[in-house]
Amino acid sequence: MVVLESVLVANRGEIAVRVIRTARKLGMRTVAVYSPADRYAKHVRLADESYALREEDGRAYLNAARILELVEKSGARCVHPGYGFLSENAAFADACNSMRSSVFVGPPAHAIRAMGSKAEARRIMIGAGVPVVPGYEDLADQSVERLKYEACRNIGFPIMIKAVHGGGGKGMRVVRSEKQFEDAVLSAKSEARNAFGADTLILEKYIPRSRHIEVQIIADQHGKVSHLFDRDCSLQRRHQKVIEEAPAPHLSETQRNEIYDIAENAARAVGYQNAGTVELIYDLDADHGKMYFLEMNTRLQVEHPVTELVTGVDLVELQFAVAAGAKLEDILERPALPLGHAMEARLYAEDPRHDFLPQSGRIERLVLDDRGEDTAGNLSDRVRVDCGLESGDQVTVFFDPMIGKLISHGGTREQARRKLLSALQNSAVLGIQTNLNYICNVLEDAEFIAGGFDTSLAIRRATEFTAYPEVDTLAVCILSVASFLRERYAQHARMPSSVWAHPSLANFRVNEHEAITLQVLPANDSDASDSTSACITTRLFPEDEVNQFFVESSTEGQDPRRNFVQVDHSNISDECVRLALSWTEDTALSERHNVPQARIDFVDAQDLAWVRYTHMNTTRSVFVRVRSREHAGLLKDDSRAGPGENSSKILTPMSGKVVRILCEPGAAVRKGDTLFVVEAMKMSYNVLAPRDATVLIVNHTVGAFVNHGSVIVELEQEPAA
Amino acid sequence: MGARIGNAVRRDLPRALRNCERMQELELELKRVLAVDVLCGGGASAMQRHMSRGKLPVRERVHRLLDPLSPFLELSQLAGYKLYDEKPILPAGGVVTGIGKVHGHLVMVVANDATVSGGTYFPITVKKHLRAQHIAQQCGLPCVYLVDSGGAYLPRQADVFPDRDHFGRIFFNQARMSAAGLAQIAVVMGSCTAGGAYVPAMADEAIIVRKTGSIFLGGPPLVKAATGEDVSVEELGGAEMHCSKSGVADYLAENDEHALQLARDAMAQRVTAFTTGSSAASSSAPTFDAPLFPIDDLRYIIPSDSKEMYDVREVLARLVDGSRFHEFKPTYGASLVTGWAHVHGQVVGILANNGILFSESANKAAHFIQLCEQRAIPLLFLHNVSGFMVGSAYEQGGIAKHGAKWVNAVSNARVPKISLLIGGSHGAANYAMCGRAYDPHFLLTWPNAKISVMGGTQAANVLYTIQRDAAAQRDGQKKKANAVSAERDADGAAQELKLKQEIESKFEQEGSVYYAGARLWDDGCILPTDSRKVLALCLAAAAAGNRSVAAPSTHVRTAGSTFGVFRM
Repeated sequence: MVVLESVLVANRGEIAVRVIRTARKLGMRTVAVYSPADRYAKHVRLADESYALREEDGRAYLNAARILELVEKSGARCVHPGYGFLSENAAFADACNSMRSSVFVGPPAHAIRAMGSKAEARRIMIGAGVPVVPGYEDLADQSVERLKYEACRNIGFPIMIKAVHGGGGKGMRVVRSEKQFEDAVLSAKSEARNAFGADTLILEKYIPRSRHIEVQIIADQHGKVSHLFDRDCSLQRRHQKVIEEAPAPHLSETQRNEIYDIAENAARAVGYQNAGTVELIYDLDADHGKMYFLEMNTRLQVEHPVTELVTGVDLVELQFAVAAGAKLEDILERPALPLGHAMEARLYAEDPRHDFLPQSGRIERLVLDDRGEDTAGNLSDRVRVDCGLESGDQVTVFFDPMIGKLISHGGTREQARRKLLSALQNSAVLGIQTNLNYICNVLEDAEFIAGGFDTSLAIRRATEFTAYPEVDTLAVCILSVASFLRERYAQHARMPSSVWAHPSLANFRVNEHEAITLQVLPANDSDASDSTSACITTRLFPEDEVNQFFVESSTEGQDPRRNFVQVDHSNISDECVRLALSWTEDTALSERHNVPQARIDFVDAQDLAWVRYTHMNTTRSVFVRVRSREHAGLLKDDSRAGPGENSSKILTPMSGKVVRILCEPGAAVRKGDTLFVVEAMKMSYNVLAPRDATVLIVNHTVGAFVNHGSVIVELEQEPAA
Repeated sequence: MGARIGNAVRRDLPRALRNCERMQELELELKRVLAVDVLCGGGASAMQRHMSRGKLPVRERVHRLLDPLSPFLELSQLAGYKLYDEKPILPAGGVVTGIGKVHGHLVMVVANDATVSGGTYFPITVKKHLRAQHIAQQCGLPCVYLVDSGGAYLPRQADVFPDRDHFGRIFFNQARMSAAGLAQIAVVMGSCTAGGAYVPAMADEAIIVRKTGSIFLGGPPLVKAATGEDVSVEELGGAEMHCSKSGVADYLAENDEHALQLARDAMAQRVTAFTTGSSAASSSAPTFDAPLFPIDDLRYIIPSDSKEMYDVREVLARLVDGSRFHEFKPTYGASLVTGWAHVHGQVVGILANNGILFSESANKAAHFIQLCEQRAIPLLFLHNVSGFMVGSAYEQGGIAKHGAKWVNAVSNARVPKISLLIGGSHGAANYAMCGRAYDPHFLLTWPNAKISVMGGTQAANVLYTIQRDAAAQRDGQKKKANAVSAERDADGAAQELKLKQEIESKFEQEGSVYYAGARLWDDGCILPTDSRKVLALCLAAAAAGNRSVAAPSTHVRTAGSTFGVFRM
C-alpha cells in the first residue's frame, strides 16, 4: 500500500471544495488549481497550495498537460479529478498513473475507455448478458445517412441520440420524427465536440415512461466489488438531474437485488476499480417494469452525498483508500440496509421560465440554510450543504451554472423531503436568477411526494414548477416594515450620536403624518413586462410607539388593504432583517394573527429583497423588486425602452459565444428558421426567426462573445398592417 | 443628572377632561387649517396644471431632496394665512422652508410653491425666505433653493422690493453665506424671472430642469417691448442655453427627480470637501431615557382656561429625558423655574414661567443665563406669563432695573436660544423670555399660545379705564357739579361691557397663533405632543454648524475665502 500524503484536485467549484474537505480530514496536503477567472474561488482559499492554470474558461481544467506539469511541480502524491473535466479522460488517468510518484484517484484507464464510450459499453454489456436498450452503437459508420437509416428502420422513433463520450445531458437529444433528425444530430455533435472533444454518437430507443435508477459501486484493486445501494434521479430537466434521492422509492426486494447484480457484474466485466455508478433505465410501460443497463459513470457523481448519508460512508475517503491499495474488507462497513432516506437538490443559476437558460452574474447574497427542521431519531438534524461559492462570488459564462447542493437526511422519505424543503425555503440567492423556487415547487408536488414518478414529471408539470408565488399584500406589508426598520437602523448606526438620525425622529414632519411609500414588484421573472401589472404600492405610517405601524397596501384597481402591525421582536442588520410580528386587518373585530418568523434579505444595489415568512404553519417565500418613492423616478429614467420591444431586433438570450450564424444580410428568412446559435456553459441555444422577414444586419461574427441582450441580427421592419 | 420630577395625571377628573377637550379642539383646528388651506398648496386646478408640466408638488420635491426617512423641520406653515385681502389664503406664504438631512448633513431648504400665485414673492414670502436664510446663518447650515417663481408680486412691489429686509437681501445673504463656506445650491425647477434670476446666478452651483426650467432677467414679452426682439423662452433662458452658452447654470437635469438627485450629489461633494468631521452629530451621549410620563398627558395638564395656574414642572416632566431636572435656585424667585435637563441626550438650560414675574425671578434668570453662557449650554424658554408684577412696592423695589438685567443677559447670551410659547407671552416678560426681538434660533408656539403686549382682559380694563377717564374729564369740564346719575350708571355698564368685549376680542384675535404665524412672528405652531421631538431637532440644528457654542460668532467660518463664489 502506498501512502497518499497529498492530493492535487483537478477541478473547481463545489466538488473541489468537497474533495479538499475530506483530504484535510485525512491530514493530506491539498493542492488546488484554478483558472484565472477562479482566482478567488472558495476551493482556492481552502487549499494549502494553489496553482494557476492558463485558460480563462473551462478549457483551463481540461488542459491535461498543464495539470500534469503542476502535479510534478507540487509533488502531489495523487490526483483527484472530481466529476466532469478530466474525470473520465482515460489518457489523463494513464498519464497520472505513469508518473513516478503519483496515482489517479479513479478507475484504471481501460475501464474509463470502455465505459466512456457508450458504444463500447453497450457491446461489453451485451456480451456479459446484461440487458441494454435497443439501439445502434457502431462507431465505424457515423454518417448521418446511416444513423438515419438505423433510426428509421431498425429502432423506430422516438429516438435518443447520445454523444458516445457524453454525460450530464450534454450532446443528448430526443428526436420524435425523421424530420428533426438531421438537425438534432448536427447540434448534438457540435455540443459533444465542445464538451468532450469527440462527436461520435450512438442511438437508443427512447423509452417515454421510465425512471432513472442508478447503483453506486466501489471496487478495490484486488478484484472485490461492492454496491452501495441505489439512487433515484428521475427528476430531470433538459436531461439534467435536479433532485436525487437514496434509496429509490417503491422498488421491490427482487428488483433491488436484480439491479445490484447488474451493477456488480457490469463493474467486474470491465475490471473496474474505485468508485463508479451504474445507471439503469426502468421502463414503466413494460410488463412488471423492466430494467436496462444504460451506462456506467466512471467517477464520483454529483449526487454521491445521498449515498453517503444513507450508508455513513465517506466516498471520497473510500476513493483515496482504494487508490492507495486498501482492501474493501478492511475499509468498508456497509450497513445491511440503507439508513433512512436522503434527498439532494441542485441549485442552479438558471431561469426556469426561459428554458432553464444559464444565468451569469454576481451573487449578491448566498444564504444556504443548513439548520433544517427538527427531526426525531438520532439522524443528523442538519442539512448538508456542498457549495463552492460564497456571497460576492461570480457565476461566469465559462463554467457550469451549478451553485451548490443541499442534501437532507431523514428517517423516512417524507422526513427527508420536508427537511430539504424547509432548508430551501430558508435559503436565499440574491443577485442572480436561480431554480430555488422551482425546486421548492417540485418538492411540494403531489406526484413527487408520492415517489416513483417517471422522468417526464418536470415536463408534465412545467407550468406548476415554474410558477412563482404571488406577491401577497402581507409579504409586502412585512417588507415595508422591515425596510423602514432597516433604514432607520442604518442611519442611526452610521451616526449614533446624531439626534437627527435617531429612530424616534425618522421621517418626522411638522403637523403632518407623512407616509413612507414603497412600490413592490415581483422580481422572480426576468421578464420585466410581466411584472409591472402586479405592482403593489404600500404606504407605511409609523406610530409614535416605535414598533407599531399602520400599513396600507394597494394594487391598482383594487381597494387598499389596511393592516396594523406590531413588531414583537426584531433583529436588524444592513443586509437582513428578522422579525416576529403580529398583525390585524383593519376591521374592528378582526383577530390578531402572528407571524412568528419573517426573514427579509436585501440587496440594495439591485433593489431586490427576499421575503420569507411563516404564517399558519406554512412558509411563504417571495422575491421582489423594491422601489421607494424616492427612487421611483430615477428608475423610470433608466428603464428606457430596450431593443427587445422591437421585434425587428433579435437578441441573444444569454451571454456566450456565437457558434453559428445561419443567415446573412439581404437573405429572406421564414418564421422558425434558425438565425444563429449561441453557446455558453457548454449548452447551445438556437435562436429562431420570429416571423417571415428579410435580414438587414448581422452584428457579430462566429466566435464572438456576446452579452445577454446584445442585438445579433436585425430584421427588416414589419410592414404596417 | 437631576431629580425626577412630575406626577402621574388623573385623566378621569372633570378638569382634566375639560383641558383635554379644549386642547384637542385647538389641535384639530390647527390640523384643519393646515390640511385645507396650507399643505395642499394652491388648490386642485393649479396643482393639476403644475403636474401636467411634469413638475412635482413642492413638498414632494423637498421629500425627494432629503435623505430617506430624514425628519423635515418645516418652518412657519401659517405664513400668509388670512394676511392679504386679495389673496386671503396664501398657503405657507408661497414658499416652503425648513431643515432636513441630505447625505446625513443638515441643510436649509427654501422651495417656492408655483401653485401659489405662480410662486411670486409677496412681502410675507420675502420675510419667510429671509428668515430661513437667517436661521441657516445662525445655525451654520448650507442652503438648497428649489426655485420655481415668477419673481416679485408686482401689486405689492413697494413692500417687496426696496427696503433693507426686502428682496435684495436674499442675494446679499447668499453671497455672505457662500463666503462663510455654507454651500448655496440652486435648483431651477420652473421659471426664475427678473430678480429671481439671481438665486441661481448667485448660487455656488446651479441645476436646471430641461423644458420646465428657465432663467432670465426679462421674459419674452418684456424683451419684445424693450428692444423689439422676438425670442422664445428656450432661446432666451432655457435650460440648454444656460448650461451650454450662458453658463448661468451648471447641470442640466432631465426632470424634477433627476434635478433633485443632482442637487443631492452636489451637496454630497460639497459636504465632504468642506466639512469633513463636522456633522449634525453633536457631542452628546448617543442614548437617553424617555420621559417617565406619556407626552399626551400635556393635553390633560394645560388648563382650558389660560388664567388657571398649574405647575410647569409637569410640562417639563413630559419633555425632558427621564423626567430628570436639575433645578437651580428652586426656592428663590419661584415663579420662574430654572434648571438643567437633557432632550434627546442634549443638555439644555431651561427657564420656564410658573406665575407672574418678580424682581427675584429676574435676578435668578440673569444669574442662570450667565451660568449657561459660561458653560456653553443652550437655553430653552418656556413662555406662559402675563408679565412682570406691577405696583408701588415693586416699582420702588426696582423691578424695572432687575428686569433690565435679565433682558441684558438674554440679549448678549451667545449660546443657542429656543423659545416655546406654551401659553401667554405678554409685555416685557416676552422680551425677557427671549421673544422674537431677541433673536432666538427658533421660536415656536403651541395652538393655545397668545402673544400681545398684555392679556386681552387686562388690555380691556386698561383701555376702558383710560377711555372712561378721558370721557370723565370732558364731561367734568362741561358739568363739573353734576353727580353721576343711576340712569347713566346702567347705561355705562352696558357700554363698558361692549367696549371691553370689543377690545378683548381684538386682542384675542391679534394674539392668536394664526395672526402671529401669518406674520411670521414665530417659526411655527406645533402640536404639544410633538414638542419633545421638535425641541430635539431644533437643539441639534442649532448646534450643527456651531461646533464651539461658546464662540457662536464663528458661524461665519474660516473655511473658504472672504468672498462668495463668483459665477464666471
